[in-house]
Amino acid sequence: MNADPKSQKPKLLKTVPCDRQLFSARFSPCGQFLASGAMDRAVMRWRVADNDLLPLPPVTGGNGWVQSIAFHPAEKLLFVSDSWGRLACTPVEGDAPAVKWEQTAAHDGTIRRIAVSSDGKLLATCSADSFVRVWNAADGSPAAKFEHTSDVFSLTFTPDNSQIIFGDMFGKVFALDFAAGKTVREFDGGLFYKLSRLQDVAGLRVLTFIDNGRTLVAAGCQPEGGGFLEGAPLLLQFDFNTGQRISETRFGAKDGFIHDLTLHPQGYFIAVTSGQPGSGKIIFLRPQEKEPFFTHSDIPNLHAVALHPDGCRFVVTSTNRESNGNGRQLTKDGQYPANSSPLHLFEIPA
Amino acid sequence: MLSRRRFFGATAGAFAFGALGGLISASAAEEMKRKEKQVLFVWLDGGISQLESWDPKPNTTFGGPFRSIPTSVPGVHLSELMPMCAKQMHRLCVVRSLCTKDNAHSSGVDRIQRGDPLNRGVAYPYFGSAIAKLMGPTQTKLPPYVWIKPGGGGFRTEDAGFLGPQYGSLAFGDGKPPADLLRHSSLTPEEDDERNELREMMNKRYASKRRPEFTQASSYVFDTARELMRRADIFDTSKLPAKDIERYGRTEIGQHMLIARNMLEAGVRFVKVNSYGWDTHGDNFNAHASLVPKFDRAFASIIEDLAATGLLEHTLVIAMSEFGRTPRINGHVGRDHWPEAWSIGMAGCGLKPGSVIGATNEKGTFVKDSGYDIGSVFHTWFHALGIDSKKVEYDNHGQPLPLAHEEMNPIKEALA
Repeated sequence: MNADPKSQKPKLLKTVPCDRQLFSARFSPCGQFLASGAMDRAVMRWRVADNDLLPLPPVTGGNGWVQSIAFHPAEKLLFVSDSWGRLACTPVEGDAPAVKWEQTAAHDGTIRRIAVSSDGKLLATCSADSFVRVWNAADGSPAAKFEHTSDVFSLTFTPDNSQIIFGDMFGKVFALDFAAGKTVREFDGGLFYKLSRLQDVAGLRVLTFIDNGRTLVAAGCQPEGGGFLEGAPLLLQFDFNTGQRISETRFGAKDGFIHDLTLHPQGYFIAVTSGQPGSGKIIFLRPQEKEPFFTHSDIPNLHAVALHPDGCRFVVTSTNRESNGNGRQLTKDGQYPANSSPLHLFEIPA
Repeated sequence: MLSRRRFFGATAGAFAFGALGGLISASAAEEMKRKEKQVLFVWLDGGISQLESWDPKPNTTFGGPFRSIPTSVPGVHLSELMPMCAKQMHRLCVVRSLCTKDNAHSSGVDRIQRGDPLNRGVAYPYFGSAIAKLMGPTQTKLPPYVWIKPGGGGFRTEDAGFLGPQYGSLAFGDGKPPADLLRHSSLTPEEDDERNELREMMNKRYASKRRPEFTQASSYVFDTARELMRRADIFDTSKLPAKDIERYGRTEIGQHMLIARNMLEAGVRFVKVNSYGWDTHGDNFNAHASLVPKFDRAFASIIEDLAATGLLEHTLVIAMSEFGRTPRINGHVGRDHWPEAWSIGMAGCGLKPGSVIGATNEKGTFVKDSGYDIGSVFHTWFHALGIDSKKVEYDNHGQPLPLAHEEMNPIKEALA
């Protein structure tokens, strides 16, 4: 890989069609598979070829929307959660992989995020039901739970796996000592929240660590209002030890959300943003800088980014163009149109 | 906030236009008044999603992330975002097959609230103005058409259309009364009476030189306003039991619905409650997860209370928007405007409780069969209130006008 990321303008290798809308996307640690949660209760899978993604049969068994997936860091296991509260573990290989274990009522409502501890022993989930729950990854048995006071939107483990960081509807971010069942620190992410008329507008989407756990990163949207939900993609960085906010970065006044973000091994973020239908950017940003060193604006409605373990390829998911419109708009053959989510495979030049 | 002076000023302007009109049948109007029927009209401005409320389609292409839940009526399910309405379903009447014509807010709000009749070259009244005209105040003589809304208040004459400004809505911004609703502290009751005697005297002088309908309008406006001035307690929810306030929700819509309950109990003929911010083109599902439970709590609570006090038997309750939202989920995870297949929740007098009328197809994209336009819904409301909208007409200065779209009919299945 090139040491200077400024010269690493990514090259689009392939756009892979997908006939349904997707949320998340993650590569397996072995690099052989890509999985993505869909709006139709399925997990879509692809086998990774050099410059292509070859479709595999979807993993079914869920309900509603599959909003978050995660891979085991060492084994070829996929953790899947859905909007009806189901949590399951399944092998990623095979045409119709059998469920290894499942919790059909892990939460009472939408599971928003799964996090896996770096040693692969624990899972953490958060939900609209206000709970953070911890599970043993081997068999899905409950390990701990914490009841918060509002909808929990995102979470991650600390690098040493001793705490869980979670953020709620109001943008409040907490460090949870899950063994003790209590929060031990709070981070002010209030910029991610706005009460707009009757609507609590929640902007927080991503929590992650950089600098070996010294810096906590929170990303999402600073909302201007509800309804259309306009706002600025926002990235906050906190000193994890002191709780102090050390950085506040926005990307466009009305570009919507940072929906997903990943850290490249060379130390820069790859983030995807989108807001009003048709908008969307892939952003390469060094944590210590205010301006992206690369922005790609040709793909609209971006919702997820997955970095391949080789560090040279990444995938973004998007919703198709012309995805919106009021009233009766039918296809040429008179059918009511559904949207889809093409995947875009990029290469970061070496 | 509406001041007393502004209120009187506006209403005085209203009867100066003298648009009293009149029913073809005066006796029919008297009959309506004796029944003391009332209306609660909840307007969710911008468009609540039918799929996240009254007509869930879980586990379908466009069904969204939420589950459906059973209700108090076996076999009927609502969105999981409406657990309290689900418990009131045996009192509700839900129409799931609305199919209307307008997908824009600017024109859709007007067309829906005026009933979208055939074009007669006049602006038809909003439903509240129509009821104010057709039924007038109840015997309490409180204003017949009151609007509780976020934001500013005032006398909103534009609602009345050709009926004339007298039948506009008296809007209470942020649910608050006029700033000087009560008798000013510098006035003794005796001084206040003297002022009113003076007003009466001037009214009589005014009346002696004008046609009677003008003076009737004058009396009407002042009487309803004075009655309202005696009822400042209507607006004060602070003295209600804390459990009531909690039950309705400590939200804008919850507190406004409590005031609406007070107004209905006090005898206001038509109470409209507005909630804004339902135009969820972006992040529709998180938005509805925030919005719908607040509506659910407030709406179910008032249904429960009206039923407990017996008011529901003669109160028509309506909750609706200008349209529903697209089944298709856009790139901002939002839903756009969809008049083709949407729902309305109702309850109360003249309606069949525990009923679901009409249906959409499996994916919720279009209505099965022909669906109902807003004209049919207006006919249904009039009939539920005992007004035969196929026979009674407005008299617009000699121009007979139907109450609702003459080519449409009431939804018979919805009527008790």
